[in-house]
Amino acid sequence: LPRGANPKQANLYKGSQFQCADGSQSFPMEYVNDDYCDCQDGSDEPGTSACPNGSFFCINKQFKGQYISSSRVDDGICDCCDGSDEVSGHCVNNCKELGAHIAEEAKKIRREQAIGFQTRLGYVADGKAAKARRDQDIAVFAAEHEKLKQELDERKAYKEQVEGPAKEAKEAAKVEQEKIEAEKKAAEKEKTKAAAELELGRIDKDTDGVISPDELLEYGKSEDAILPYDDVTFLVEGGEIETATLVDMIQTQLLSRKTEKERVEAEEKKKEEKRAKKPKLRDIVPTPPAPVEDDEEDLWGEDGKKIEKQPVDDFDDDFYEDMDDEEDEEEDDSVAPVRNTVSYDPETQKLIDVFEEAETLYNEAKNRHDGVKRQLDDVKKLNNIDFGAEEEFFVLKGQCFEKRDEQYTYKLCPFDRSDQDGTNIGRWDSWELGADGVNHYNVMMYNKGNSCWQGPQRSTRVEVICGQENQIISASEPAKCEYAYVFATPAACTKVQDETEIHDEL
Amino acid sequence: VNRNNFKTCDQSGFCKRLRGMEPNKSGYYADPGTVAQLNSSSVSFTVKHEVDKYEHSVVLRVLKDNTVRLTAQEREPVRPRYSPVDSFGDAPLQDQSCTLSKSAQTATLSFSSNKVVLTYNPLRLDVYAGEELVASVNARGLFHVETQLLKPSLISRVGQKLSDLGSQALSLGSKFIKSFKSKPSKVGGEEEGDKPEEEKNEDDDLGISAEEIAKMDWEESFNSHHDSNPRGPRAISLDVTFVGFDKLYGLPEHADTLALKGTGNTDPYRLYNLDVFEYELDNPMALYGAIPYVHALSAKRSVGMMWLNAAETWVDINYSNEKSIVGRVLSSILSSDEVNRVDTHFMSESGLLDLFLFLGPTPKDVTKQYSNVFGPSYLPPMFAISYHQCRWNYNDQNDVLGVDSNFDKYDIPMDVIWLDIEHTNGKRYFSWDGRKFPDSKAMLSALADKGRNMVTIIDPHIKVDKSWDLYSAGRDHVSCGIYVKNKDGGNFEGHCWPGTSSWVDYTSPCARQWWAEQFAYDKYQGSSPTLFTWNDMNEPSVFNGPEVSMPKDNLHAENWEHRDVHNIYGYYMHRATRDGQLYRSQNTARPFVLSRAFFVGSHRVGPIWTGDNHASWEHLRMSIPMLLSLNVAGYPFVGADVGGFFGNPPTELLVRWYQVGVLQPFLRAHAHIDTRRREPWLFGEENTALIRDALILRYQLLPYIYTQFYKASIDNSPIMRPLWYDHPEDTSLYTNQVEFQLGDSLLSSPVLESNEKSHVIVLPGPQVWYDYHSYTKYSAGTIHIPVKLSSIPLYIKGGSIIATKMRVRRSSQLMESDPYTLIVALSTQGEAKGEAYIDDGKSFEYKNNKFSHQLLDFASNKLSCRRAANSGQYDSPAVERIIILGLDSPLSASLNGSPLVSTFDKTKKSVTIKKPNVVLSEEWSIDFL
Repeated sequence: LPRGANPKQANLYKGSQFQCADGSQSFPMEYVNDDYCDCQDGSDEPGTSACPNGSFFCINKQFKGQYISSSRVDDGICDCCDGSDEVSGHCVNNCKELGAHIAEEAKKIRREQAIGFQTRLGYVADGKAAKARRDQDIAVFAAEHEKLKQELDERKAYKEQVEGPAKEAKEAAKVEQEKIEAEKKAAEKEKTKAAAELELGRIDKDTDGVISPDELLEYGKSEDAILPYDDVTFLVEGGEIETATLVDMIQTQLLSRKTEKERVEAEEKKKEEKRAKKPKLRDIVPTPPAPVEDDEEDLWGEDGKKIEKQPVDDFDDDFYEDMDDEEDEEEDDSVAPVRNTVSYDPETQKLIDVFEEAETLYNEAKNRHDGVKRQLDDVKKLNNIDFGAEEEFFVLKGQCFEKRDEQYTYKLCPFDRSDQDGTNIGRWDSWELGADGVNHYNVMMYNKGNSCWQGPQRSTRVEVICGQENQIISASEPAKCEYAYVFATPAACTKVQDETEIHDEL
Repeated sequence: VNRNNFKTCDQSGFCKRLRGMEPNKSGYYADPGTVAQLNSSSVSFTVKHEVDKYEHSVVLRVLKDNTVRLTAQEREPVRPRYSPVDSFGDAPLQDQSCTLSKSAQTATLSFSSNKVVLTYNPLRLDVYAGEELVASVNARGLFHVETQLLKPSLISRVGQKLSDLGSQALSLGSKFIKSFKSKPSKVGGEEEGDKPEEEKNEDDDLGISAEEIAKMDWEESFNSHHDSNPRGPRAISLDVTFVGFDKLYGLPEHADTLALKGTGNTDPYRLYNLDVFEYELDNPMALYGAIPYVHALSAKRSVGMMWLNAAETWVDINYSNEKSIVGRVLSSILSSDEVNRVDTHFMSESGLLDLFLFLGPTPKDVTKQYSNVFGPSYLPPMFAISYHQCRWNYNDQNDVLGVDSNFDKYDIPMDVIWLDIEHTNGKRYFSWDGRKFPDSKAMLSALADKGRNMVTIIDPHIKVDKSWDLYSAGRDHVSCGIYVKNKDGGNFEGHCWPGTSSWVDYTSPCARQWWAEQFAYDKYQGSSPTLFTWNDMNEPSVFNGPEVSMPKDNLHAENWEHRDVHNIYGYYMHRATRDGQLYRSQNTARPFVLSRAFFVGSHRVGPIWTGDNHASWEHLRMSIPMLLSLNVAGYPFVGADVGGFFGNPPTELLVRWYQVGVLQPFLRAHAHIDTRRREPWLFGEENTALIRDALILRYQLLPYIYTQFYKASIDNSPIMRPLWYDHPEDTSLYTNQVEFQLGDSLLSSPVLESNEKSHVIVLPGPQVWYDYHSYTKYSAGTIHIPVKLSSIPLYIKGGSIIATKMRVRRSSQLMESDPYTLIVALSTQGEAKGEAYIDDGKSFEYKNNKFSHQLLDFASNKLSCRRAANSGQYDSPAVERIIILGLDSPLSASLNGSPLVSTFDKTKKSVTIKKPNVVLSEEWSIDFL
């Protein structure tokens, strides 16, 4: 057998003529391995470096046979473990050791693979169960949604129907009320007229019927003057002072003082009442829709964002505490204006009550509807993620894994995001197809992370390999803002090949 | 580029002054009485000026091989003028004897059949090659040497005078006032008044009028930077007209056309080594290096000229063939007024006026003459001309080894992996980031096992860090100042990659020695004999300095100002680093240092590259004229970053760039840190294969390319040469900057356009050319060929023989003992010649005659291989194959009467001889029938 030839092809080198593997030419057998490339396909030189496209077969007894490029033959570097690619004596034959080492390594890998595969079986079961649950949820939620949507539509129609009359009646009542208010105000003002004229007399100190600037200024200085000093100086600076203007100004002042007094009294009275009987806010605030009671609730975020799940207890306490505080603050605010409470005639009030009830019913229905819609959308979204051919990667969703190197802490939350020291370096995008266009579930892409300074958005490419445990094996940044992980997971472990099969190869 | 960072001529005091000179009003004349022969090869005379009283000494010296040197400076300079003497080659300048004859109006210096005619008044020097006028110096009267003055004496003396003048002082000019601001009492009052008539006479003792002093740029500001210029203006200017020439080439480095452009409507070409961020194409702005050299070309002859000056230099160029002022001046000696000529005007801020004229007559002669003075190129080790894989940055040891193993996985040859600044411990050069490179020696040795080397970057700025030994050792060095000083004498500190830094003063021999010692294996920890060096940022680049460089009033060894030595600084660093590699190997291993900045003489030290180019087709195209200009200007070992440094090249561009790069002298792929990875295997199998094929072509051609480098190491002949270089008589080739020759036998016509389907190729005459891949024969002329993405149009010149190696290994070192394939490309007369140079590719043993230089000759049906006269003996591998191109019928071959196996390929019209049983380094001949 010529050097570098595969023993399986020994018959090619029998006889006196050699035919190139492509059949193009025939030569005397001496041309084989004569260190000159005669065949275009390089087949006449299995054991030399003469053909650029040739290959050399290392027999590698006690290990496994292997082809190397003819450019590796006789270049001073031992490429075959049996050293057959170099002149004899140049290399030591380490096939046995290599074989043992490789076998040991392979054994370790197989062990890991076997354990991983067992774990994977559980993953597959969990994933498939979750998938079934999701499918079921979708059916349930969809039916529920359909029902609620119908209810919502009905209530909406009813609400719209009663809204018009209530609005009109309310409007009419408001106009009436405003008219009464205006009249009331005019009457009140009239009441102050006498007092204003009295004050006018007080200003006109020399009682000549004319208010001079000096009189006005002097009046302004007195402590009990109804007109504030600022107004007085303003009037004086303005030139001629008309009595009517003055009277009107005094009336306005008197009126506002009265209103203020009434307001303060009303406040006092209200506070008194409140002290007597503090209402429980829990009673008056409508109960918010109950949080979805589902273990997977926190997984159903939008845009792959993880929703921080709020414990129900905390929710209760915090929420109502906050409400209390806000209310108190508002009440303590003494400058808050007195509310114009409008009272309606019974006819109008009834229309309003009907509408408000319809509105409450509608809102209740809408909350229920939206809640279920959200649940439905979330489950659908989750169902759209490709968790593997057998749902084996599903269990990774919702978990996060960290890898600390000497500089950074890398974090991978599968199907969610990738981080470097808290900086988002990619959001779950998709599985990368292999060169053959097939998804081998071995590369995950996380794209559109935070933008780099003057650069692209960060991205992470995750190579997924079989491992006994879920962990990031390595994390690096091969090009700026392009990160690469190797992530080991039992989910990627396939069934271990038959032992004998491996032995055959060795 | 942000143009505002860089000066225009108008913003550069001396350029504005000198460019503003009016032509034909020289005022200078040679004093006939002083014209005298200094020795057998030199003539000197004194030049005087009609107005000012300063005198200048001019020396004309004739050098071996029809080279004329002209120097001029003040007869009694108050300070010496800087001369970059280390630009000269190792061999001392050799004289050629001349004779002097004088007449009333002229003096004539004759040598060989050439002469220089000096016309006394106005001063003019006409240089004749044979009977033909080829260059006229000061024909336009722009010769000027700004007389150096002593500023302190001026302050006391002129200040005194000005105080006498009183009120007139301020009208003399704002620049002048500025320089005297610190002594306002001497400036006097502020009233206006007429200049007194007697001013000139009073200044007789100064030889210069107060008005002229006032106009001087004693200080200058640019952006926020102030140049104190304490030694005052001392610029030099000269015009040289090349008579009878069509084109001018050279003046690297500019991102501009190969043939230099007239500068009538632009700034002059600027030579001032600068770190230009994202440089623009097609303009005369300065770049990283400077060689103030031009090559004038016509169909009849070539002339070269070196303006040997290391200061900031601007050059105006004007093409003309009209009968104008110069035409009239010359008309008495010209047979026709209608003659093409090129006017040049050289302006430098300081330094000695020192001019070399190389009289040709052929481009090759000019190269030889240049080489006599400035030395030939250095002979690089074989790996240096192989493929270099670089990136800013390979992140860590594992990254490096991963890239290394991928080259094997994808079966792509590669010789050197490079590490950029991130490999260091905090940009402290000579150190490693211990976290990323915990065991650099293990990494280097893993690479060396495959015959691969590594290059690390070492920049000239030293981090100011008292706790760092290297910095402190430099600061505390006893025998000399290691760092460049600021104008006040303290160590200059500026900003660069490591933050606050000082710069090594490589102009000091003592500092260079210190620097070289840092490369010792015990000093540069973690280095090894397969680790080489890259000097970047050595213009020098100073982030917070004027024009991103060093203040011109900084001080160097021997008290030279930075202004005087700026353009030679990078060369000295390059050289000191080279010396460091020689030092560590005790002069046994050939060094390899890549530099970005360069100057006259850098070609003897190592390669340079064209800096931070861009991943665009425009930059790919520009790489050709840029590299050709460098070659024409005496720098053969040059390259451009394959792929383009900035930006992400589209795959097609990357493939094309490799195809061009493999045929250029220095071949390195490099990429900016912000770009995506672009190692050859990242673009799909098809493109990996295309890049592999291109690199395999490079490695196949290494024996031929190495021979070209050997030739360059003898006579500095260009390796990448414009088509006109070997065909100067064909004027249609003068502006061709898309094709080039690689050495004397190969022509590359690269595809430089996206999506090109049909390619036009110009093949210069009269010889035939053979397609390197198909052996198709073409007559000279323009041909059109269809091209695919795999096409690398490459042609072998008919009449040449080249040595190649068809077996390509992982690295060039592994190919050392592989046999040769000789390609004999017959001329139409059925003849061919070639040569091959072989040595160990790494040591200096060739200096001990351990080399073979073989001459191959095919004539009269006999192929012979003979040792060249100068050859030593180095045993080469055998020849495995001889391919003879251009045969219409089979030939049978025999060696010493024994027949050899040969085959004839009808379609390729070639005969291939199998295993002729000859060794390239031996003498033999093969007969054909």
